[in-house]
Amino acid sequence: MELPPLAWSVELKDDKLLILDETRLPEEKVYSEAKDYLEAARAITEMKTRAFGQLLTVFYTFLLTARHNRGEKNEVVLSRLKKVAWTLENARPTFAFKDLNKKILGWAEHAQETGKDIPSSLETEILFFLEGLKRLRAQRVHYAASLINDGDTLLTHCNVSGEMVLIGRACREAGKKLRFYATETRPYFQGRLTSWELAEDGFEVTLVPDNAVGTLLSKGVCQLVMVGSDRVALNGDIVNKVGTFQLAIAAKSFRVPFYVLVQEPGTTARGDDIPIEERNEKELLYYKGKRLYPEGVRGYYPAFDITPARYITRLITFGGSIDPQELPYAWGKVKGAMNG
Amino acid sequence: MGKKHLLLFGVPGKKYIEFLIQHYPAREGWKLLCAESRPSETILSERMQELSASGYETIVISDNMVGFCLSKKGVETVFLFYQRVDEECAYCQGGSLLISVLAKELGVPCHLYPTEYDPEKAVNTHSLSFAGDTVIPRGVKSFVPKIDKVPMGYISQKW
Repeated sequence: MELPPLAWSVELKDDKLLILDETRLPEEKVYSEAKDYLEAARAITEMKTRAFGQLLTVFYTFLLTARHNRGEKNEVVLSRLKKVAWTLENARPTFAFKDLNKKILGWAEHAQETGKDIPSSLETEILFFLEGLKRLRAQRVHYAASLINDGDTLLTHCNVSGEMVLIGRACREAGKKLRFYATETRPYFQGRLTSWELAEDGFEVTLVPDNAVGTLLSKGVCQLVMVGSDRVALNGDIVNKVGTFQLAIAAKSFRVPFYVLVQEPGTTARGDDIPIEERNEKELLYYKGKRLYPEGVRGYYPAFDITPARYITRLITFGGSIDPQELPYAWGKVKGAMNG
Repeated sequence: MGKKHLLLFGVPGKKYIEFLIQHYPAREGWKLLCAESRPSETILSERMQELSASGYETIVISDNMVGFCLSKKGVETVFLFYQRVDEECAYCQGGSLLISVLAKELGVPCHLYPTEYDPEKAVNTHSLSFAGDTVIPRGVKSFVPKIDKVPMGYISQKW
């Protein structure tokens, strides 16, 4: 079955990146072109691509750079790759660009040390990694679906890059009926994307204001909450779109399980060690170029928040679902499952 | 952002500004964090103009930022606005229950103040728009709670 558009929203075609522009969805399905790393970084900064799309943009940007540098000396290529890494790291502060860059630059440095051509080695490594990632996401979808019961209504926040659709499909294939509630996720309305992609796939989905989650959870409308995450720390804290923390508090208060889809934890010890991006107040104060609030009124826009591990019921990793408090010990086992 | 913030959710009435001036004067450095209070942001915007004109630094946040601000930005008191109240609970704009739960969990006093704004009349439960645009994609339902019953156990003080 075809993947939902947001599940693999970036591709490399004819020597340029095609990045699905999330700012124009769901009205228009338009791909933004990036001919080099500067244009790719701009697409990230301008939030044309987010969440998993950012990760794909990083890998494909290095792949594009490797292709642009075929035939160059290894020292020259490595120096250019480091420039790409620096630019991507500075595109947005919260996402784990540093960890991804470290991985990719590590492949390039290993190629140099072993006398191999960096561009061709890097291309092989990146394509192999991305194929593996597809398999790992499919596994995570399976683990997430196994936590859902027939007849459940799932509440989600923001957008998980097509993965909620895949989880819904996995439930459908298992004969489980699943309904969704999605929060609007102001100010970018990522909840519109979530509800749109779920409805396109035939699921019953209801869009609610961000403030409605207490009402829904207190009345028992939703039996579980499931969200994605941009980062997870080694102590099990997660960082995700602002609003996740308060959703977790509400879930705990009304005794509704709160599940989080996570990736590799990297090396960050605690959630508080992760910088929280503060974006321009204009993104909150204006809509389609028109000011919404009176002159003199200011805006404040933290783009992410930190949800401490104690509010999370289970982390859904590539290797299975685990108690977040166990992440430091369980990660070795999870890595084993990933490699197996 | 320093301390001395009040966080407001819902649409305050006219008398609230007089109350603020008396109890939390702008000259003492009190600042106002106003949650958008979807879907009542347009009417709230008019109140923000009055608050700003009364000398208050008025900062708008979206409703999903309340938890972050309560935990990180030194909010001293949360204000919710009620239409009516009985022994067990206050009847406030939809979304107020969440804010009261957050205030309790994060140790911020939650106060109630009356308002003449009536979401029962102003809010459509099954229509969600923003700045005149519908935000509901094709094939998607919507749900907007008009009124939340906020248990008095979450409330520190009723004015």
